[in-house]
Amino acid sequence: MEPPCAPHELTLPLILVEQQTKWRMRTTLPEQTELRPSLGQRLHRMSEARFGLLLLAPAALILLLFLAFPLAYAGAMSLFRIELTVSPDWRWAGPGNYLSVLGERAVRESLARTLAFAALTVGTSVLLALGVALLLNEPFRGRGFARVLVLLPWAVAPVVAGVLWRYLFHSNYGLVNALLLQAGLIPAYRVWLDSAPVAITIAALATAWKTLPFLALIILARLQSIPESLYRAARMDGAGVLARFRHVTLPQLRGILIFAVVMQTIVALQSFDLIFTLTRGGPGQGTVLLSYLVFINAFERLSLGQAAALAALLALLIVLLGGLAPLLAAGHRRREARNE
Amino acid sequence: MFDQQTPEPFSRRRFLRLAGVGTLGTLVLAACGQAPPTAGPDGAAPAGGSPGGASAPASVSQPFAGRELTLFSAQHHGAYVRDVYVPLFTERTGAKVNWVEVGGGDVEAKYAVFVASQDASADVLIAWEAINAKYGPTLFEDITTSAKPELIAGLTPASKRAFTFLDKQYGMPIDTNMAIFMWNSELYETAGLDPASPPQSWAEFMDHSKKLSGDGKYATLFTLGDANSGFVTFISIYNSTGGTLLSPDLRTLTVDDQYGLMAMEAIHDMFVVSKVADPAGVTVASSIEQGKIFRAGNMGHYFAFPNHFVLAETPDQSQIVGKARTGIIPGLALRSGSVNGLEGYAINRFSGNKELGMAFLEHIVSPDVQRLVATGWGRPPAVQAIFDDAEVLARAPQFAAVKEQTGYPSPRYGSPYYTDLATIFVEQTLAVVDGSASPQEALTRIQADGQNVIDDYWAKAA
Repeated sequence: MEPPCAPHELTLPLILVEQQTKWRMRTTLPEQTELRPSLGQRLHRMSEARFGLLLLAPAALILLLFLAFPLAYAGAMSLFRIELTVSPDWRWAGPGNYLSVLGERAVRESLARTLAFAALTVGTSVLLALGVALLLNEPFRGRGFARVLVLLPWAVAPVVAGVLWRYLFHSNYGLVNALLLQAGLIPAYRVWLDSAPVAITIAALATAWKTLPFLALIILARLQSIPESLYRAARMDGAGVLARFRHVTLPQLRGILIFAVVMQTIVALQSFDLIFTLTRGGPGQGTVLLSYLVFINAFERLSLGQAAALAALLALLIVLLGGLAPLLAAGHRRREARNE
Repeated sequence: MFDQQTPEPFSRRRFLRLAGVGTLGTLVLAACGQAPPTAGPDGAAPAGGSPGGASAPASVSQPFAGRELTLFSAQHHGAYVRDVYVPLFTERTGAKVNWVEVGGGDVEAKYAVFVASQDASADVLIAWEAINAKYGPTLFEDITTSAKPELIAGLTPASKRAFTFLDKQYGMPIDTNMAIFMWNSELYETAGLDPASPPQSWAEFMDHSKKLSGDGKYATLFTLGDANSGFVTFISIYNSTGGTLLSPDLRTLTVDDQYGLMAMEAIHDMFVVSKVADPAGVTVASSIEQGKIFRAGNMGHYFAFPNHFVLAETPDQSQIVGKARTGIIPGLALRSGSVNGLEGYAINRFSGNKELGMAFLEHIVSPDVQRLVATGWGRPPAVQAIFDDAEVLARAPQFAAVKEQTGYPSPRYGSPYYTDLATIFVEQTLAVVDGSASPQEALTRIQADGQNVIDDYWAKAA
């Protein structure tokens, strides 16, 4: 039997190990410092989801500051009677403002007008955007320039667009009158914005003109992602241009078209600045949409509580119609899944 | 952008680099852009400077030296109030004036915010009759007892009334602006009318108008483009009937009577029967636009604000220089009647600088400023004595008509419920113009809906 290790025999290896560790620490510490990831490296190694959240954080913070508080404040205002022509005081009204607003003839008329305007704007803009996207998807000389040109209305501020369209249809010096007169289509200059249906149609056209580039852009992007093999297969099956459009292009665009319809509906429901500069709500109340009515209530009638209630109802309407997008898309996916 | 090309990968490193460069650039630009705040709005001279450009030295003759006044006004006051009267105020008082302006149509929206937030950032605010009635009780300082009585007593009756709401004085007028009659002498001659004989009654006005109309041209234009302009149109005609639209306590509307019918039938005749009024008026919401059409030589006569005469005589603003003539508005039952477009200033009741604010109000009705208003701006003065000044009348021939016009009714019927009432009026007037309602039907609806609006207001106020 071997004798147990003498204490000195046991100590020596321990000292060696300790020294080795110290030595390693000394030698490896600089290496470890080098290996410690820098901010850039850490960002680089971050998961996609976390990196996305990081990028969203500043915007989310700003939204929280500048949207959440005003929204909550407006919500609170809608529950109080605030009549600035009488007093700046807030008096509790509960749902009174909502009931009062819903009972107003002006609101009901404006709602109908707003929905008609939205339908007209959506129909015009989506159809035109589809046509423009299909055209720009085809190869032709000057296509690049045409694509830039189509984008221009998007860059125009809504207020400027309103003034522009107002002067286009001006009864005394409007371009439309001048062109139609020279073409012999009208006997004399006419007043375009004096009837509510015409004024609302012009307003819808102007809105469609303004938002068409965005819609055309997203439809074009989708068009370009349709596999060419689908068209080849359709051609082999003897499909003509219309058949290819109906059975290949349109089904592929369905999702984006639904998105475009919903987006444009939201834009139409929110329209204010263009109407303000184009018609100022006239003739009479002929182009007073709900958003414009909010403005009138707040800044002309000085009924802030009622204006807040109306704004809340408008927001609800927008959310409801905006929520249609995911619902329609989900329904579409379910139908496709069943078909497959 | 649209072509299906493989884009250069946009890595996170590249994103961070770009973001860093962008931030640095912004900081550099911000640092470079911090110029000393010497320029006024639109690059104008410093608001506190004197007309000559140098600030007046502080002295005992400048009682407010070192103090600052913030003036909230409208763009159309820039060329005269900001550039002429304010520097004069600074020279006299030593107070620096900070000028803030918005478009005239945006003033009300801004005032709503002032009241809601009890904002004291501006000491003196632009005002006019409709605004006084609407904001007097909640935004403007009541100066009935604090203003010097001799200043109030010296005002023209119309200007005094425009700044008084329910017996309280809420500001000082800067002018006695009210519509007069203006005609194009050349178009009169072309139509076979004597340019020296304007219409003396409504019947003559219609007769002249028929001769001035035809071949796609209209004799006149009345604004119906929005609630305010439509109401002003109705009132400008109604005021010559001898009727009174609102009771003095502002609780009763009396439009459905012979006076209201007379006014509404006149509108119906002009637009529908005789077709002498330009239908484009339905889309015109401002007298500025109306004046432009007259100055382009496209209109025989109209109800114009006096400073339109100055514009008609300015070569770069007018194609009818030397052809505009002025007189008083031909009336329906009375010889004449008008509508006022008076403007002035009031003190913000939330301001902590009311003493200086009052000094500014006194400044705008001082004789020399009033002379400048009359001769430079072309607006009728707010002070009666200036109207009688021979030199002023010689330099501004249109004031002879204004002076005569002030002898006839010109209330604007400002009220706290002005917007709602004006909206009802313009809706029904448009119904008459497009033929969907008779004058009587329109009046019946205005009376019912308008009285409801008034009752609602007083119920809320109670």
